[in-house]
Amino acid sequence: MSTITDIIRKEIENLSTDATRTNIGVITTLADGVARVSGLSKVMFNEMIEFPNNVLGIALNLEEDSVGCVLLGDISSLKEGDEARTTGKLLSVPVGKELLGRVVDGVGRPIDDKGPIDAKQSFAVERIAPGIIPRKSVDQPLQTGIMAVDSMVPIGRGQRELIIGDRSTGKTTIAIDTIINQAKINKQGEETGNPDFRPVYCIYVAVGQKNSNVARTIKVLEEKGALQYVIIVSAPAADNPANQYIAPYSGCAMGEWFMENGMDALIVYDDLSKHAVAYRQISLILKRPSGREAYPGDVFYLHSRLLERSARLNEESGNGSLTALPIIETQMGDVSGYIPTNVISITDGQIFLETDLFNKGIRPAVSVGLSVSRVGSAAQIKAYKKVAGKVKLELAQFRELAAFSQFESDLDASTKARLDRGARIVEMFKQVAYNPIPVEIQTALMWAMQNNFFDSIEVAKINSAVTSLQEHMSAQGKEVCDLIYSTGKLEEETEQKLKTVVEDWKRTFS
Amino acid sequence: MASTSKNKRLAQTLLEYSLNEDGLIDENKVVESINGLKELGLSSTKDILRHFLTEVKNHLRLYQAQIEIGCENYQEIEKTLRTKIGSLTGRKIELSIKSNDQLLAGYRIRIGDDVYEDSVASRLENLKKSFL
Repeated sequence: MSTITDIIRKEIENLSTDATRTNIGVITTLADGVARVSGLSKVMFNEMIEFPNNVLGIALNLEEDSVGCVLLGDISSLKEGDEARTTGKLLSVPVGKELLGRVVDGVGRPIDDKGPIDAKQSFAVERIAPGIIPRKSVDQPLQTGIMAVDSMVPIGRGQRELIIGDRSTGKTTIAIDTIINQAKINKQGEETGNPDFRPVYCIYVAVGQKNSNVARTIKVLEEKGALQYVIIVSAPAADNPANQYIAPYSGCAMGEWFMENGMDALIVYDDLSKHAVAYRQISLILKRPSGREAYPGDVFYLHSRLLERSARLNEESGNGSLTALPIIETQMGDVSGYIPTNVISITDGQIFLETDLFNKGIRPAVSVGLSVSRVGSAAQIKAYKKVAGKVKLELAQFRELAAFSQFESDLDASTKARLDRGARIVEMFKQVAYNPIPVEIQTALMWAMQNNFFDSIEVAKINSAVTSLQEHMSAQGKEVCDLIYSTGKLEEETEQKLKTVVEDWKRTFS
Repeated sequence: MASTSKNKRLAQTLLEYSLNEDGLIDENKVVESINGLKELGLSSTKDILRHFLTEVKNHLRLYQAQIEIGCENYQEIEKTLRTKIGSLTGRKIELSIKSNDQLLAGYRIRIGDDVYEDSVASRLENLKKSFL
């Protein structure tokens, strides 16, 4: 009790008793989460505006005789004629490790009934992206645990890799798998006690998603023990457009805290198509001139300024990184839409998911031809680079040959071999959701494939063979796996040991 | 764009014409300005009038102060307030004073969009915010 009294006494002692000066205005119109306020003559662009009942707003349109504000939070209590006042501050959100394992709204307020967040610091939501000098090229891998991705479109720490595809093609699953894999790696790293180990903390930003989907994602992360490394920023479809607009920037500020403090973070924006729609809605209500598909003229800048904030910093700047996995939903596989092309041009590559592949049971439905990572093999460990170097080419050749060979009865030996290898790789890349594979196991599987250990197995049985080899490697091949994990290399001696383990498996499997 | 700035300048000239010797808006002069503009029959009359209205509104806001005092008997301090505000702003300002129980004690002065406040209610509000 005495502590509470002390706190109150301290607050009263520190309370400023000087006359205050504030700049005020009056709400003249109020619609769909946007208020037009007359007055506020001293307001700054992007300044936080205070409305009655603890409702906050951001000044987005500064006009001659009025200010357009987007409102955050419950706006049902506001009415025309209410007073609005400037705060002299930019909108900020709490940042730090205290947020890990928590679910917050677009402005960082907890919504998970786990009590208040005791964050020590806060960061402005809108911040300038790191410039050229503090940046470093991406060279450290960020393992997704998905074979098709890690082998063909490797992602590095600090990279921006777009996940794009139609609805229900597994976009969110790839992102969640990546988060789960980071949690697995983090736990493994913490157990080894390696001082050089760099954990990857994750931020999942749900924009315009169904509440049921967000709840399901949280449940999956909880079940897989990944939630403790994740911050979830939720601005669901039921939330007002202003919250949906601000949520990715809030999540990014939370990620930047890790990056600026020398740590690695991963942020998933799920999804930026809905974010653009929310921004379009705000812009139309603010009466901003509309352009193509009624989006405002600055819709490119909306996403470029967000994604540019993801970077890999150099040693002088702390060596931290923020990797971004933005998600874009296409319509009927059309990647030439306005928002998809914008985000494709901003990011460092894309993972394109095809509906046809998904329906054929090839999951993850990664399209080999349209997926690319501009960072490439620079973001792969040496061991994996050695075994996965040719796989993209092999698979691309397979897709092409498969299309031509449908009508051919006689095939030459080389074509047949390529088709057989391709079919087996496709089967090997089929992976169950929320079950990422560690990089050392992936290396072993790829090595076995490249060294013809799967050639004698029927295509239909490849998947079970892969599962069997995975189990065998985890049990009998632990020593080799540990060697690959710790050195990151596949030297002759390691390769020899790996060969022995795989041959041993082959005998038992046959 | 050029015509808009020209219209704005014209509206400012009209405002200057509408002020009396004390720098306050003279209602008769405003009516005179509007009538004169109507007689000219310019195509941009509507735009000039819109700018003129904004200028008049802004001017009125700056030359009028609404004072709320948290007690009933404020007549004693009214004269002091008039002198103080006049010397602080450096211009002759029209004051409207009323009492407001919700302030509990202290004052709240609004000049244009600026609000100067030193009341018990505002201090309590600040204390509440410091706990949140």
